[in-house]
Amino acid sequence: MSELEKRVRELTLREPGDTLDQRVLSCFQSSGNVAARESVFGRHEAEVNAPLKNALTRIRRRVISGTISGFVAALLVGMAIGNGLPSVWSRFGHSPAGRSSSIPADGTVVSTYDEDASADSEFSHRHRMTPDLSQHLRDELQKRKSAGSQFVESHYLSAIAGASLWERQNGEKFDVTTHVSDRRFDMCRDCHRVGG
Amino acid sequence: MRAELEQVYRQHRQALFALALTITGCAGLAEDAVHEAFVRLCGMQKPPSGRLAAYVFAAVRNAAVDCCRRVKRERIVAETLFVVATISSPLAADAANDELAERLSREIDLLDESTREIMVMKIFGELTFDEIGSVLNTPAATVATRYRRTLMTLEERLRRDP
Repeated sequence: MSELEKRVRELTLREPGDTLDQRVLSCFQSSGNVAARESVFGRHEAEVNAPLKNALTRIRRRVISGTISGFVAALLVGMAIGNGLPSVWSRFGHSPAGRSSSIPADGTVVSTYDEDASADSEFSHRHRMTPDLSQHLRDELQKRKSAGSQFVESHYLSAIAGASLWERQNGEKFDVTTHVSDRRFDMCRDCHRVGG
Repeated sequence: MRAELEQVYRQHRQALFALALTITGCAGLAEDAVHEAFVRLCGMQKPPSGRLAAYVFAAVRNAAVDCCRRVKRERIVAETLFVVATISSPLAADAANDELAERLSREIDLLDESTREIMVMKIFGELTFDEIGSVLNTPAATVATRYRRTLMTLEERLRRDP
């Protein structure tokens, strides 16, 4: 130890107050009960804070249930509006149901698409079928004229239009029920299977 | 554990108080910090690894820093670490030595906080450099270097005329 260190060590540090000794020594004497006191205090604190925690839990539950019920209500309202809109729309004469095809008495099947409707159809012009369809085809068309979406019906009609040519070439009756109604294949099931 | 803590307190109470006073700059806060540290230490279930005295110094230091944060006090030494008028040295009879001791205490008070912490823990707490390093989270070699440099600085200042 150097001379300076000795000199520094000889300096007298300030004494802490007497109260510090009392406080610290009492802490040693009661330190055996510190844990017990802390645990009691912790329990007391938990009891005091219990109503607050319960209130927070209640609020959280209400928020969650409110969010879920609101979401369900919005879903139901949306479904109701979605179902009701077509009927409301039909009152103004713009119903998509009004675009359904019709078959006149002379056997000519005319698609009654509006001009603007042809834009979103895969057929850009009025689709007219030849009148020499067999009675079987006419019956099928009569059955299906009212129901179904317009798009599916037009697709069906395109198949039928090709069918008339097919009937003429083969001398057989075109069976609609066995026809493959597919966007890519306008052909009967047999031809489809064969790969024709 | 309790008896060991009491022994450490009785042996180092002045140094612990001085360390807390170095950080807080206020005797009242320093006492609070020492008390708070021992309350925490008494609640410990297992004895710490290593030397207990070093652990107590670290606990007091942490408590003092917490006290400062709580009261948002700037760490400025407002109160001296030493009793200026009373010098218990055999050389105290000599007026020149009295003056030297007063100058020395004043110079130590003027040191920066971390250096004073090292001085208190090394000289009055008798901790090793490793222990001081662990208290300050600083490498022991750094602590030793700073300690020696501080001694050199103090010697140089004392050599000058007042």
